[in-house]
Amino acid sequence: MTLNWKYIGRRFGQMLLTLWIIATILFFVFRLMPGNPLTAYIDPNFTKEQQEILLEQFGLDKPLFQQYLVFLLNLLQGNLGTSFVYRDDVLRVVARVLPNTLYLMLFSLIIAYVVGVLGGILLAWLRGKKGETVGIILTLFTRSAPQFWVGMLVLAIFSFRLGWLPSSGTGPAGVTYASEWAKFTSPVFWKYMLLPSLTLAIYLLGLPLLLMRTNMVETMEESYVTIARMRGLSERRVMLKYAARNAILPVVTAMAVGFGYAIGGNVVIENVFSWPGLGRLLVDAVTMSDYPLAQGAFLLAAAIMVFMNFVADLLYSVLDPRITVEDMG
Amino acid sequence: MSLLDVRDMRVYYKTKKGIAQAVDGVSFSVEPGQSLGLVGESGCGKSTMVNGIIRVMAKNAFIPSGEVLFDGQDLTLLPEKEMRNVRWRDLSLIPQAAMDSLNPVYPVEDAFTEVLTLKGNMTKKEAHARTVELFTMVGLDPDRLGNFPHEYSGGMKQRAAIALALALEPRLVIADEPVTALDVIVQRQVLNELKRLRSELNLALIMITHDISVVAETCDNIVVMYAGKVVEKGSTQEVLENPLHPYTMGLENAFPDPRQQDKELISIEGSPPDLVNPPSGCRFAPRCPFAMERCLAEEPPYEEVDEEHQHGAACFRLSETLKLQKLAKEVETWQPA
Repeated sequence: MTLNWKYIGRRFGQMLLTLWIIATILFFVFRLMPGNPLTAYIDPNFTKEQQEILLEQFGLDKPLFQQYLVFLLNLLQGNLGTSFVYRDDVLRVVARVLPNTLYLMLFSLIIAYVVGVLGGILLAWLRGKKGETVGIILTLFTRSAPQFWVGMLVLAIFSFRLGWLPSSGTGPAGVTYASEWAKFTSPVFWKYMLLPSLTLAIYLLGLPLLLMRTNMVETMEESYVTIARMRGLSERRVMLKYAARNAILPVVTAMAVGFGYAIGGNVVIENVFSWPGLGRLLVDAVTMSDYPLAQGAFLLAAAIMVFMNFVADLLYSVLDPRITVEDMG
Repeated sequence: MSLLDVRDMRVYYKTKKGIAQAVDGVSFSVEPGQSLGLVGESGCGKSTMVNGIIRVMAKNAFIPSGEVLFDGQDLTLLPEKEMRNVRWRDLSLIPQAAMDSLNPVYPVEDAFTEVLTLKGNMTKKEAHARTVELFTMVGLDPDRLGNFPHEYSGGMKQRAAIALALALEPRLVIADEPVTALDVIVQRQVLNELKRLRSELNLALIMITHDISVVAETCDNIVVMYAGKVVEKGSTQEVLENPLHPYTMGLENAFPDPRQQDKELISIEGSPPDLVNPPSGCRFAPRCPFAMERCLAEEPPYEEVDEEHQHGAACFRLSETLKLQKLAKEVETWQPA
């Protein structure tokens, strides 16, 4: 499989354009909101002079268009501005919590998509049998149950009643991990992550499972599947190499796109489990009117989503030889 | 002993409206190295019967009765695991949908490697050598082995399907409409290829088609099916030159004959019967211009009239064949009354 760099380059350019549009919309949406962005932040007891110094400090005394250009220039240099609340570089504030979100996302997505794909294959295999009906009803249930409700239920059972797993945070009170790596390799951290990631996985599971099942039911009707059977190949081989291998293509795309959505899902899960991640930071930033931080966090979430779409496209062209560069051009 | 002896074979479908008798009491046999043409219009049960023989059927299909003796062994009674061994080693298929018979996400060679290593117990190296050999045999460039199915033209895919069917040197190949989807020039190439390979490898062939001219060219014997039943069978020449059943006569009228330039093409009015509630008498009677009262009430038994050519038909008016053949050539005969 040879990668086409021209195509990747063009697709990368499209990605940057998309991000620029998102950044522009974010910038103006926050500026167009009623009231001075600083009213919530500046103490009314400040003197006029103090207020003006602050406005100047944040560049809010300049015309909107000039502010926009400064914002873009800063953005190009990787500077997302300074958080009003944390008094720190937005990127640094986000970088502190981003790994937590990524661990949670990745772990839940992997569980959800591995279980989902296998479950989808199984349900397609059981087509027409009782197991299929039970499986579909169960999946629809997990898909439509609100995340916070499942989260609370899981907490009530495993944390409060059985006392098996901790209920909130990334570690015991007062404990800090020496480094990201120390955290990632610590069994304690994984113990804390188990409940939130399982809750998220239960919610995410439905999409790949039902998608895989539907695609598989379709590919099972394809003539190459029937003919593989006529070649005397084993049923397992026919189902996996022929039906499932072809059915999995859209599921892979869904997984990459699911990454983006998983950040949204995290807002709820992270709050239920008090998980210090990007979703919680975002909610806090909005409630505290910390516009640079909210703007930065939103932009980062959008960037992850756009980037995963890009990855999905590339993956698709690797997985499906029929998709060639000409088709994608 | 015949290589394949199908006796009173039935394949039914469970449908919402009831049970469709798609193949209803079909008998025929194929000798080693012989070729047999199975003819009939779409929906007459040709493909259903093939799927029943190889026992890869639609979920709602079942075999209520009948025997499929392959080398004396009844395939309908074979456990699935043993049946799997018969498939492709002894009995292979050039599928109707040869266009999409290959897994689209694997190179074409993969299907060959799979069959040769898993079913033919070859090593990967041997399998590759054999694949190159097969490709050359059917006139495909071995350089294209690594290509994906979508990079092949229709004719190339058809040739690949033929090569794949011959991979394990089976004794019987069933070709289900092998050239229907191809243009005339490629049709000719593929048919000639099949003919040549057949004489080279001495394999028996069942050719399923709705095109009489294809059968005339490639087959020793012919079985004419209508609505799930055999209406006529015999040696190809006999059946085509001296048709006994009105349906065969009608079928021949519908195809151009290069020897008779001025021959008018006549179609058979109406359409095949509903197989859930088939007519109680002869299934062709509702469309037959020569049908009598008796034909509508009673089912005509199959009778052999020419032992030498094993030629016979299921019709009550076999004694009037010459008269009917003459009438069948007239356009007026086939016009609805």
